[in-house]
Amino acid sequence: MASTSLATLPSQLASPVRLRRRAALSSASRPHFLLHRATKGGSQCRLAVTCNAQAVAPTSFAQGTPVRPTSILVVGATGTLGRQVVRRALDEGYDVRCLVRPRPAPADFLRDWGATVVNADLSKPETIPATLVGIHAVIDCATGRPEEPIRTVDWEGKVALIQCAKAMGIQKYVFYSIHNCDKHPEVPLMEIKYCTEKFIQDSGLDYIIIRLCGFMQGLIGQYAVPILEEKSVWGTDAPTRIAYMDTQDVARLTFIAMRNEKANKKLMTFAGPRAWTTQEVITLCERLAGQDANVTTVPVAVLRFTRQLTRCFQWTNDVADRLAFSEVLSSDTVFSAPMNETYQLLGVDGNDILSLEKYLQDYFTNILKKLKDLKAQSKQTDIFF
Amino acid sequence: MSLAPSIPSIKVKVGPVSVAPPHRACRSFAVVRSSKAEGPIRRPAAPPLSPPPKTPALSTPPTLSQPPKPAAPPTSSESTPPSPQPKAAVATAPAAALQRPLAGAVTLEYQRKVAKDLQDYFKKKKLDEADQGPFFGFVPKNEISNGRWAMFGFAVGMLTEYATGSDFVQQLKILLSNFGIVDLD
Repeated sequence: MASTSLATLPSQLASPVRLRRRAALSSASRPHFLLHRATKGGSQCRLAVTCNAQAVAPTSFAQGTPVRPTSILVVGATGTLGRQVVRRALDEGYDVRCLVRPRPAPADFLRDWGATVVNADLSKPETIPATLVGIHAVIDCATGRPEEPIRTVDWEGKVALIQCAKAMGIQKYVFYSIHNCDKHPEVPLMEIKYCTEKFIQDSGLDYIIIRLCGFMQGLIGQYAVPILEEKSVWGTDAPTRIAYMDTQDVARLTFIAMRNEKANKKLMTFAGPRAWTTQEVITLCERLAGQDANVTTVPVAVLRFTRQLTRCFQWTNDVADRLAFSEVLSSDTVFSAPMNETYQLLGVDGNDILSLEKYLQDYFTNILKKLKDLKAQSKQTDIFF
Repeated sequence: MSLAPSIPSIKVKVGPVSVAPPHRACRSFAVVRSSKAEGPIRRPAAPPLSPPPKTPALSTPPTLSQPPKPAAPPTSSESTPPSPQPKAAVATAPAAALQRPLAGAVTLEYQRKVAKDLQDYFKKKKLDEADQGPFFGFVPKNEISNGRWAMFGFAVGMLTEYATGSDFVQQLKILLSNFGIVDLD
């Protein structure tokens, strides 16, 4: 354990030095390059204006159909957050187009809701431009699947999407990032999220970047369902606290931010009212379910050892990239942020945000009521409905 | 049978900092250790934005941007951050110029035209990436295959020695005798 604790110290010390050095370099060299490029840009702009004013202007008034401001494209619409964004957009009257990867089981529920589904793949950039025709805003909820590399979808696909959005005149680009992604450069997904944030900010698009901490929906499958089915619950002994948030609240705040002019070109962090550890969530589920959980605790050291083992082989490098979050778990950080300024900026009351106790209480109440309606056989005999 | 465990290394392709055509760009490789304490942080570099393709009235072909660079080691990480920002500034001015005659509103026809040009651009970029690099020579694909065959040969040799008791020299003698080159038995 001493060697692992000593090994973590150099990485933590190295990362702020790299960030500070890179910031110094960029700030020092930026005015020179901008002045150098501005002259070339000015000359190109002058030439382009003289040519386009005569050729494009008649066709624009005769044949041009303006893009409607209510048309949005949701990338990654079948995910945990993406489907809630689609649902909220349809409820608010937007024309929603969903970019869905072609797969054997199509996303029929999106069509049943009333959204338009187009087939495209972020790992094949030539399929992206056709889906952006007639789109005013893009909401990017996509991420790679666990069986494919992070870099293919989350970096190369996102870069191609941002390039297409810039070239085709997309008016607004919403990107979901991870909270504290600039403080963990050793985790590949967080590093890619941070670089994508920088790329969006440098591209000149009108953007909204939202950093998220965690979702409540994931806790149902991890802790609530195994407790109800009396199976083993897997948790870690990490002291990391995560302020979970309901994806419906994230979608609601996203559309409030899209319509708010003050939120343009802003980087916001969405966090829930309170931060929870894994053990606290399991204790809360036990209390609400009314029965004890069979908890199996996985130490963080085992996760770290598994990550070091899977890094030695090429075919398990993707597993190692996913297991890199064990570095975040052992760093004893709190995935939460003060939300008062964000609520004031968006004009939202903080009491409207759903808390984890209310969310899990509603879930257990509904699921126990359904079990009672179905007259389900329960192993526990002292349940009083 | 005691074999010293070697630290695994990843070969990372470093793109040139200067803007050059992809088929003429010379590429150098650096060995990056996978251990977090020893190696550099694998930071993907942001590629320059592709400039929006111009209208056919201008009679100029759309300029293609440089392909995205892979992760760079710390020796060239100081030069990587300033390169995407001026190119982004260059890409912004033509986009603003193109949109200004359209009275500030983006039209469907403009988006369709740009979508077709972007599709051709990505297809051409994929073809260029597939064509680069010779079939023979010291390219990363060949070096990886060569290393795997070497590991396979060592494994087969050691497993044969473990199974039959013949050492390396005896295995060579058996091979030469069975092939009829030299009669050593």
